[in-house]
Amino acid sequence: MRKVWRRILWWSRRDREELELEEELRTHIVIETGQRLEAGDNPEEAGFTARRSFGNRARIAEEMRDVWRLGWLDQLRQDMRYAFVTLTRNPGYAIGAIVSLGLGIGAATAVFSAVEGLVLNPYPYSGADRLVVMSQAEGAGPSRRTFLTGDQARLLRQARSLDAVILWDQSWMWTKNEGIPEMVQGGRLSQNVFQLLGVPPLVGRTFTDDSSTATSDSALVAVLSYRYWQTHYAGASNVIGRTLQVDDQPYIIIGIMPERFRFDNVAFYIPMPSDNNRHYTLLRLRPGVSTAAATAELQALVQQPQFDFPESRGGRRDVRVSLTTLRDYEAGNLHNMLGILLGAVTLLFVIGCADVSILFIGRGIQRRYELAVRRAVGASQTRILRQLLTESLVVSMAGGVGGVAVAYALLAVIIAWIPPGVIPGEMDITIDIRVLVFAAVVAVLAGVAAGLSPALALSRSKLSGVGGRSEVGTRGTARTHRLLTLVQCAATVVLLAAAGAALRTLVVLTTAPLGYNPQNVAVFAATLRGSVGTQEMADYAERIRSAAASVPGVESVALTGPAPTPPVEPRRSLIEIPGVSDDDQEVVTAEVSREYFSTIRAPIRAGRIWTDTEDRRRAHIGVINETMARRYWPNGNPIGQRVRLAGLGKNWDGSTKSPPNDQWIEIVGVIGDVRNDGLSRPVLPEVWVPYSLRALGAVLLLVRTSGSPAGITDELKRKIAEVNAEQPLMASSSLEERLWENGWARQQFAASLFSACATLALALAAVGIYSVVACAVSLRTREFALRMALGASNARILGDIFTSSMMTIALGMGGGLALVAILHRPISAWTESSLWSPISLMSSMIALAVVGCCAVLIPAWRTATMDPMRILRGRHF
Amino acid sequence: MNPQRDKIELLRGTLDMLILRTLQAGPAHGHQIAKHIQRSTNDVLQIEHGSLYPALHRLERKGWLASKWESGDGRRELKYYRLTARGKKQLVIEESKWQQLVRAIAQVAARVES
Repeated sequence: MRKVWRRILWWSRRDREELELEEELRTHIVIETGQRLEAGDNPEEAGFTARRSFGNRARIAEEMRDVWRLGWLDQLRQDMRYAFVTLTRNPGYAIGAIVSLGLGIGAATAVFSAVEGLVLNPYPYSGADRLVVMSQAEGAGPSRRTFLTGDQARLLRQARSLDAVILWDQSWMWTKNEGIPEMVQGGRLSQNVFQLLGVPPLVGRTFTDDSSTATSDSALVAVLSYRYWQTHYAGASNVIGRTLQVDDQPYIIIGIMPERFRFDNVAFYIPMPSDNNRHYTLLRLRPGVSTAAATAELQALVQQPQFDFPESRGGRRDVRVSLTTLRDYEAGNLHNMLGILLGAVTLLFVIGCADVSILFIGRGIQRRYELAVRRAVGASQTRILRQLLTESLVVSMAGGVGGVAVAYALLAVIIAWIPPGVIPGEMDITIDIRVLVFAAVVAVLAGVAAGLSPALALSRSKLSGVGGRSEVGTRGTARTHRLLTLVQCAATVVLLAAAGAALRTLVVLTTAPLGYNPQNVAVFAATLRGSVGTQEMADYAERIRSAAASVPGVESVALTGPAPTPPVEPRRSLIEIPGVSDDDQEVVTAEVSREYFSTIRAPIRAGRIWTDTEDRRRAHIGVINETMARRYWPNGNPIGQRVRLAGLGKNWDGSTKSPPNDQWIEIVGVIGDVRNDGLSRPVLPEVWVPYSLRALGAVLLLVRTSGSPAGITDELKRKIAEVNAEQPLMASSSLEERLWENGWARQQFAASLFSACATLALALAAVGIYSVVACAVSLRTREFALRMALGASNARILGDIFTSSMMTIALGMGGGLALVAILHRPISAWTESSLWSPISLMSSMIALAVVGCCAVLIPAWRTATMDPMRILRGRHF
Repeated sequence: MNPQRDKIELLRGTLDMLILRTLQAGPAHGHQIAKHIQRSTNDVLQIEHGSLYPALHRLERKGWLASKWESGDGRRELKYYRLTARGKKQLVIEESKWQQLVRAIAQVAARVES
């Protein structure tokens, strides 16, 4: 131990020790010289003999130093210093390597972590991977989510493959918090939900079986969400026990949920009274039960008479049950997209590593002379390897650190960028350290391996060949270079094709005709207070609407039922068309005020819209869209026809109205098609009836303004308050925003990500190509100089360099095309346009060719315009 | 004929022993040690003076010698080496190792001769 301590001590005081060492040796020689002088030699001879008898002073000094050195530590210091010196003198390749590494590692890690967050740990609920959503489809119809009544749920609970059946509702609720009215989305949960989900409350407690008793009156307790607690109570600690007014009833707050619990994204949870309405359902499979087994059992169960699905005609045998995991149901398509993104980013990673390798190898080739000289002077192979290792480690480590920083930054950007509603709120996405370490290790290894290559090449070559025109150990490395460039080009082509496909889809989506004009239309949600379906409600609604219309800057205001705005699919209803169908056709229905069509600028194709008087009278009339007219009256005139809408006889939750009412309406007009089933699917037949017919409480106000809709909110609220001071208004958004969120956002997200990857890939590939060409050209400088001196023109030299480089690039493009051919089918599942499109492939190749040309041109130009004489005369390295 | 060829090559271990032996008499600096070895062997052992110093430093690193800079004859500073306690113990060990080596070689030589 003391030995090590002494060495450390020596190392730390080495400057002084160095002086002493020299002094010791010098003194010896002086004394010896003095003695020789006394013995009779002349001064010159004395000194000479003294020194000779001493021996090789430099070697001895070195040996003495070796005694004290900490060996590897000193060498390391020396290597690092040398590495920094060379790096600062030639920062180009180091910067390139660091950037490539940083981007490659960072991008790969960020995306891997995002995918993991979505795939592995999306929900905090117990047994989250067994939660499934039940849907049913009839015959050839589309699959729709199943709603169940309390009795049906009880039946399902007996199923052996399920261990939980959860019922809940979500609705806009009218709350009064400290006297301030506000409309908030609240959730109603059946008693056992909190237990089943298994997330303990942050503060207080959740519903227990004895707190929400059978009678609904005493079940006036509420559990707040974390978000609501923060925004409305400022996270105060004494919230438990306070009262929250919901729909005019006092609820006592008994608990607060933790931040990650965002079941259905509502503000608070109150118990659900047991009734026979239909509710949202979530099932949980028993551990070990497969989805197929559960589906089979449920399929058998729904044959029982208690199950009557509201829109089916009673053909229960026709009903097909399907189960989707909650994760897939909510994040569905995102899965695919992330999978493909994973592939894209892996390619980017490969390109980045290839870049790093190219840069290091190129650097090695340029230094081969220096290394050969060092070998000749006496440095051992290990010494040189060690020094190269240090140098490449320094750069690779810097790149690794950069990669970590990029990973965190990129993940934050991705999360912020994901459009709201695309991923469930509970998902918790953080950097996965394992992936980060893995990516960093792989990339650093690639850099280091490439960095060591010149030394390895040197050991295989004859030293005497260096300095001449022979390529020392570079034939192998040149092949590796070309291979790496090939790989880069191929990968870049694939990424460019993917970006092209995503962009094309985006363009198609955003330029698809909507059938209406969504610009400058703001959307407000409101819950009108009063009895649903009455004349008073209809009048009240109209008063609200007119008040809104009187706001300056407003062109028109429309009132609609609570259905989401187009192109999101609104409610459907069965329809009976005498002479054509028999209560088995399905159409989209919506209740709107007459101003709806002018507000969204949907054109009238035939007939008219109902008048004001008819509206107030609650006349049974309506209008249909072109698709419906074409489908059911291809040769006749729909105007004047009567149809029966089964939906008019149902309540909002699907239960039948009692007593049954008149469901017949008369068609008075045909409206131009408005997209109502997503942005890319064909338009469904649709019927619009006056709002006053159903007079629901939850409405949307569509407000078209002459300018931007932002400024009118306050004035609007004031006008509405004039009608009824207690009528709260929720500013939702604008039609354009909803369009964007529901349709375009996802595609734009995908397109942006792919484009970013492709651009990065292009940049990295350009760096790689440039480096390879610069290196290859520098090796042949003397040859070119000679040829130019002998009469070859600049153009010929240029052409020569060009053809050899472009060959590699062309091969790379070919490889990329082959990859696209293999991959285009699986990738097209997400991007909706095929990867294999001539236009996008052509433009990808052109982009790569252009970039490649520029990258090749710069070193080629420099070589072709050099002065041959200067090269041939001097030593050019 | 050639003084170089007549020079007996010293094993590194024996040089260590010679140094330790020399210092048994008392502390000395590098030049004195070199001269002492040369004189004691009547110039038979001619080592390059310089090779002494790495050996001195090695022994110091092992803890068998201790060194100190003292002003010699007023004008210059000289680095004096002395045996440490451990060095003294090591000298005994080295000497017994040397005796073993000498006896072993003598036995071989005797056998050959007979």
